[in-house]
Amino acid sequence: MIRSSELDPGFLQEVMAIPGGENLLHCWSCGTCAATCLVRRYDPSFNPRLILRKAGIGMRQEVLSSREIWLCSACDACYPRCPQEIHISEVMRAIRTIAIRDGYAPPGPSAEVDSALCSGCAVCTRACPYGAIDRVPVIVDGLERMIAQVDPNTCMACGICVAACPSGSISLEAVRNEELLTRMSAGGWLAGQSQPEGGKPRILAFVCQWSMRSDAEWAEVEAMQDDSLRVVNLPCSGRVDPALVLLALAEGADGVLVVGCGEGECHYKRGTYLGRGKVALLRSVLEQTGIGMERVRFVELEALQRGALPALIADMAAALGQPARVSG
Amino acid sequence: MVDAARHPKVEILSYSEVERVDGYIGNFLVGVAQKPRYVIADQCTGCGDCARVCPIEIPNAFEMGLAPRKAIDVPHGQAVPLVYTIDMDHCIQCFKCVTACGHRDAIDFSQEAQYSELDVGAIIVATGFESFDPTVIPEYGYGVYPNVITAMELERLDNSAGPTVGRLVRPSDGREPASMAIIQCVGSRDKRYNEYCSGFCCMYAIKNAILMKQMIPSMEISIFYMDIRTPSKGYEEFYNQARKMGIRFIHGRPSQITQDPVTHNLFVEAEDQELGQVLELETDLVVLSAAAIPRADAADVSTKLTLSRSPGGFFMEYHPKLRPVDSPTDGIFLAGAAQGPKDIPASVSQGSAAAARAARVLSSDTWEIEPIIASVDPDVCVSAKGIKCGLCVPACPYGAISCVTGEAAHVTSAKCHGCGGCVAECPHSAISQHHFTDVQIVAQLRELLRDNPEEKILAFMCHWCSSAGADMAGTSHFEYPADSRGIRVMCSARTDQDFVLEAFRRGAGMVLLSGCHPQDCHYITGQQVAAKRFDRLQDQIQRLGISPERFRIEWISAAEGEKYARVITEMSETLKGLDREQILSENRGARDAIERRLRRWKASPQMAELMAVGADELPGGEELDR
Amino acid sequence: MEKLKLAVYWASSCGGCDISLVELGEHLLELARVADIVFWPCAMDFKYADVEAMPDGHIDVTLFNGAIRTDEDAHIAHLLRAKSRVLIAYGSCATEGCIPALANIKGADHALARAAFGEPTTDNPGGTMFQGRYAMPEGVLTLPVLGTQVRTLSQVVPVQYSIPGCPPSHEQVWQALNAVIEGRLPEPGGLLGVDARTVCDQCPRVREGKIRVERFLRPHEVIPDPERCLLEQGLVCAGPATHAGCGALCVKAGMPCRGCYGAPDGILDQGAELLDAIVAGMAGESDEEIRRVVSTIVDPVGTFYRFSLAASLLHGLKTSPLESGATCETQRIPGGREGDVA
Repeated sequence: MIRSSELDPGFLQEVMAIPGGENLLHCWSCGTCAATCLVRRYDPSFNPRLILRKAGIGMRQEVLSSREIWLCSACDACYPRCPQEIHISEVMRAIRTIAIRDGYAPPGPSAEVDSALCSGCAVCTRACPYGAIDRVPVIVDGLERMIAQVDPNTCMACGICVAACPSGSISLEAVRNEELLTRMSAGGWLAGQSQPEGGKPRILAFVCQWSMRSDAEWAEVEAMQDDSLRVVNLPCSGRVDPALVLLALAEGADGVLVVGCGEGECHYKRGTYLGRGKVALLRSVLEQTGIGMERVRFVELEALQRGALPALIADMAAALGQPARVSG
Repeated sequence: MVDAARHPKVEILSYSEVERVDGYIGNFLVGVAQKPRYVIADQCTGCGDCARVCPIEIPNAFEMGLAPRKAIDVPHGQAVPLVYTIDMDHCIQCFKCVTACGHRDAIDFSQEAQYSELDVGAIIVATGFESFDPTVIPEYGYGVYPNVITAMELERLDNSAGPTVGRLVRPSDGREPASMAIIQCVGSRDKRYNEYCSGFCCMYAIKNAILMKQMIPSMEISIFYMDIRTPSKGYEEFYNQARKMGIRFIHGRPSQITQDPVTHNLFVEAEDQELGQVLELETDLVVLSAAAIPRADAADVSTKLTLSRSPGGFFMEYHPKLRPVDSPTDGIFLAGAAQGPKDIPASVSQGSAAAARAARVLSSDTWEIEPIIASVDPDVCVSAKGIKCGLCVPACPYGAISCVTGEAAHVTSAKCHGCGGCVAECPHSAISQHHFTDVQIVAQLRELLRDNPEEKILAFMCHWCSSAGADMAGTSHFEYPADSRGIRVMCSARTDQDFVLEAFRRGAGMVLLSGCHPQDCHYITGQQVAAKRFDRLQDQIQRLGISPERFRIEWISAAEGEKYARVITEMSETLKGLDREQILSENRGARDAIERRLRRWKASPQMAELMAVGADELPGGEELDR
Repeated sequence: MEKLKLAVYWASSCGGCDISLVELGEHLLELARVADIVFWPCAMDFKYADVEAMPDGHIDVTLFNGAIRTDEDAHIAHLLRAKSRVLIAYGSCATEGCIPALANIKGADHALARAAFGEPTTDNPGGTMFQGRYAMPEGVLTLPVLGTQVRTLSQVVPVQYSIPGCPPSHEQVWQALNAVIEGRLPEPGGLLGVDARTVCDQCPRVREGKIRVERFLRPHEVIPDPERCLLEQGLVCAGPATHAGCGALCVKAGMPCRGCYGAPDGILDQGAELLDAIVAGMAGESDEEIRRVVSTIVDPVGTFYRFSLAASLLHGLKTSPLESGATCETQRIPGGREGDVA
C-alpha cells in the first residue's frame, strides 16, 4: 500500500521545472507509449507509462533510484503516437537530470576507453549519436594527451563508437568484436565446414535487434538458420564493423546482409544511416575490386512491416545465385 | 422523414444549398440555389429503371465506398424525396436512362439551377457532422491494410440493407471473421487531431459488439479503450451486458497495428494496463471508432450565417449551460451534432428545443432588443466621405455592422447586443452607444476624480464580470481600502483608451482596467478586442512617462470578489508607497501629449465643455502652490 | 668483434626504401663500423650467384623491401629467407603491398594489357605483348613474369619483423638498426620502428570533436586551415587508422595522411577501420543525406586501401591464396610452347 504521506508532491514540480518535463501533467496513462516501446522487448520491467505515473504522483525515491529510468534511448518512437503530445524522452531526461543531481548513477554498461591505446583522434566524438563522448586532457605515458572520455550518464550502449574507433580503443561489454566473431563462427559456420544443400549461397545476416518487434518474428528468423544462413544480432546496424563483414566473406560466406531500421526509426537516432553508409562504401570497394557488390547488402525493416525478413533473405540468395567458391 | 415531407407546413428543398443570408431576427432573407438533378421531380416515380440500365458505376458515399452506385441514383432506398439525381461529373450522357424512363419522361438534361429567396423569421442550423479519416494515422494502417475498417463501414457491413445484406465479411478475402478488435478514440481525445471526446463512440462500439456477438456467438470480440463513457440512462447497464456476453474490454490504447503479409490478419499491440503487460492480439478484423468532426463546409456556413465556432470547430452556442441551442446571433438556433458531437437522444432533445426557441420568434409580432445599442452618426463617419475605414466592423462579435466605402457604416439594431466595442475602436468618434456615451462616461470620470485624484485608483469594470465581482466583494464583506472609484461599462471592449488618458490628465493616481476572463466574455469576443487594446495602451502610457506600477490590467470574474478586494488592496499599498510629488510631476509631464491626443474629442461641443476644466481642477502647479 | 652481416634487397619497389637507408646520412659511417653489407644490388655490385653460394643462415639480417610481384621476386624471397637468420620486411611494399598492390584491383592481366595496348603514348601497331620467354637462335631469353596477384613478403615466406612506412622514417630506421646491432630485438612477429598509438597522437593540429562532415573534399579542392584537424575540414585523413611512427610528417606539411605506416596494433584490416571511422564522422539524418555524403568519397579503394590492399581482408577474395602466386594468364605458356623465332 502506498501512503500519501510517503508521496512527495514537490517531485512533480521538480520534474516540470526542467525543460522537457513541463508536460508531465498532461499524461493520462493511456499506455500507448508502453505498447510502442521497443526496450520492453528486451527488458519487460521498463514501462514508460508507469514511470511517468509514479513521477506524477510523487514517488520520488522509487523513481530516482530505479534502474529503469536509464533505459530510455530517446529513439522517440513513442512521441509521435502520444495523444497528449508529451515528449516522453524529454521527461525521462528531466528525471535523470534530477537523479544525477541527487547522486544516482546509471547501472551501465557504458562504453569504456583504454587510455593506453587512445590517440584522441575524436572519431568517436562524432560517431556517438548522443554526443556522450568528449576528449579531456589526461597525463598518459609521461605526456598530457587529449583522451576520449565517455559520459556514463549519457551513453546508451549502442556500440557505434566501438565500431567507429579505428584503433580499437573503445570497448563495450557483450558487443566486442571477439564476441561477435564467436557468434559468427559458432559451430564452424565460417570456414565452410559444411556445404548448404542444393548449392545455396551462404549468407551471414547482421540483424539490428530492434528491427523486428515481436518474439514470434525473431523465433521464425532464428529457426531459419542452417548451413546457408547465420543470424547475428547487433545492438544497431550502426555497430556493423566492415572488418567483420570482410572477414566473413574471406572465411567462406558468400554474402553478408545487414538489416537495419527504417528511416526515422533508429533506436539510437541515426545508427541506421551509419549502417547504410558503411554498406554503401563497402559495396563500392567490392565493385571496384571486381569482387562484386552484390556480396554485401543493406535492407531496412520498417516499424510497421511484419514478416518481411525471410523474403529479403531469399531475395539476396537469388541475387547471389550458386556461387563458385573461391576460398578453400 | 416521410411525415415531414407530407406535412402541409413543411417544404423540403432537397439537393439545394444556402448561398446567402441577410437580415436579422424575424426578417431573414435567405438565398437558396436548388442544384439541377437533371430529373423532373414531379414526374419521377422513384421506380429505379434508369439506375438499372446506367452503365456507369461510382463509389457510393452512403455505403462508405463499400458498394457502388450508378451515375443516376438515389442516395439510399429510404431517401425523401425519392427522386433520382444524375451525377454530372460522371455521367457520359449515353441517354440509356432516358430510354428506360420511357413515357414517364422524367429526365431532363437541360435542367438548370433554380434560385429562390426565402423570407423567414428564424433559422435552425442542423447540418450534422462528418467522420474523421484515419488514413492520417499511419500506425493504424487504415487505407493500407484491407482488414482495417472504420465503425461507419462496419455499420454498412452489418446492416441488412447494406452492400453485403448484413453478412459481416472481411474485405481481403470475403470470409466471415472469427475475431474482431474495436479500437476506441481514433482521432478523438488526441492533441494531434481532435482534443475533444466524440461522445457516442463508446456506445456504438458496444452496440456493434453486442450485435456481432448475437449474430456470430463464436466470434471473439475485443474492445481497446482508454475510458468507457456510458453516462446516460440505461447506458451503463448496456455496457455490463456486453461484458456478460463475453466481449473483452482491454484497458489500453493500441500503439500500432501490423499485418501478416500472407493472411492479412492483423496484430494489435496495446498495453493491458490491468495486467501491466503488453498484449499482441492477432485478429481477423479491426474496427476503428473514428472521431466525429465538423463538416468540411463548416467555415463556409459560419461565414454565411455569422456563426462563431468553438475550439473543436463545431458551431458555438450562446452559452454552454444556459442557452445551448441558441447561437450568438438572435434568431439563429443550433441543433444536433453541428453544435458538438452527440448521440441520438441528445440530438432529438436539441431538435425539439431549437424548434421551441424558434417558435418563440415566430409567434411574436415584436422582438425585444437591448436599448444600449450602438448607432453611427453619418455626418461624422469618414466612410461616408469616401475614405476607406471600417475599423468598427471586426470589433463586432455579432457581425452587426456593415461598412461600404462611400457610405456611412451601418449598425443593424436587431443584431446589436450592446457591448460597445465598436464605439471604442472608432478613431473618429462616429459611433456611439446609447446610455454609455463618451460624454456620460467622461462626466463620471470627472466627478470621481474631482478631489485629490492622485490618491485615487480609477477602476474600469465590465458589467457582467469584474463589476459583479466588485459587488461580490462588497456583499461578502471582504475589506479593502476605500481608494478606488469605479466606472461600469457593459463590456471591457467599451473601455476606450482615451478614457484612460483622460483619467491621467485629470490627475488619477492609478488606473485599473478589468474585465472578464477570456472564455467568459458575455459578448463572446469582446474581451479579446479589449485585451489587444489594453496591451497597446500599456506601451503608450509608459512612453508618456507614467510609471508602469500606476497602470494595471486584471481579468476578474463575477465570482472572484476576493480577487477584486486583493487587487485593490495591492494597488492601494503600491499607491501609498509612491511619492506624491512624483505622481504629480508625471501627470503634469504627460498632460500636453495627452491633450494633443484628445484633440478630436473637442470636435464635439459637449465633450469640449466637459474637457475644459476650471483651474482648480487641473493637477500640477496650482496644487503645489497650495 | 665480428661485424654484422647485413643484406638489403629490393623486389617490386620504387627505390624509395633504399634511399631511406641512404638518408641515414652520417649514421652510415657508424653502420659501416659495425656491419658488413653482403648483398645490396641497388647500391653495390652483387650477383644472385653470390647469395646462392652462401651457406644457410649466413646473413645476420636482411632488410627486404618491395612487394612480391614477379617470379623473380618470389624466388629471391625464398632464397634470402633460407640464407638469412633474421628477415625483416622493410617498408610498406614488403609489409602490406603498398602502391604496387593496387594492381590487384584489376589484376595483372589488365595491367599488362593496359601497358601494352591501352596507353595513349604507347605505339604498338603489331599488338606485341610482353612475354617471359623468347626463343632466339642464340638461345632462349627469359624475363621475370608477373604473378596473378601482388603479395606481401610474409605471404610468401615467414618474416620475423616488419618496419612499416613509405618509406620508413630514417630516424625510426636508425633506432631499429641499433636494436639489431645491440641485440635488443623484441619477440619475433612484431613491428619495429614505430611509436605507440596512431598518427593522431603525433599530429599537432587541433581537433574540436563532434564535427560531422557534409562533403568530403580532395586535397586540390581546398586550402585547409593550418591549425585545424584535416578530417574535420572534410579531407580524408587516414591518421586515425594509421600506426604512429612517422611523426605526422605529411599532416605537418599540410597534406592529409595516406596511411602508409599501416594498421594500428591489433587491427585486422586498416581499410575497413578507416572506412568505418570516415562514415562515423559523416553528417546526415536521412538515407538520401548520408548517401550524398558517401558519394563525395572518390575512389574508395584508393582512399581506404592505398597502401594496405595486399595485406587486407580483400586480398584473396578474388583469387585464392593458392593461385595468387601462379603466373598470370597473359604470360602463362600453355603446354610449354616456344615463342616465335625472329
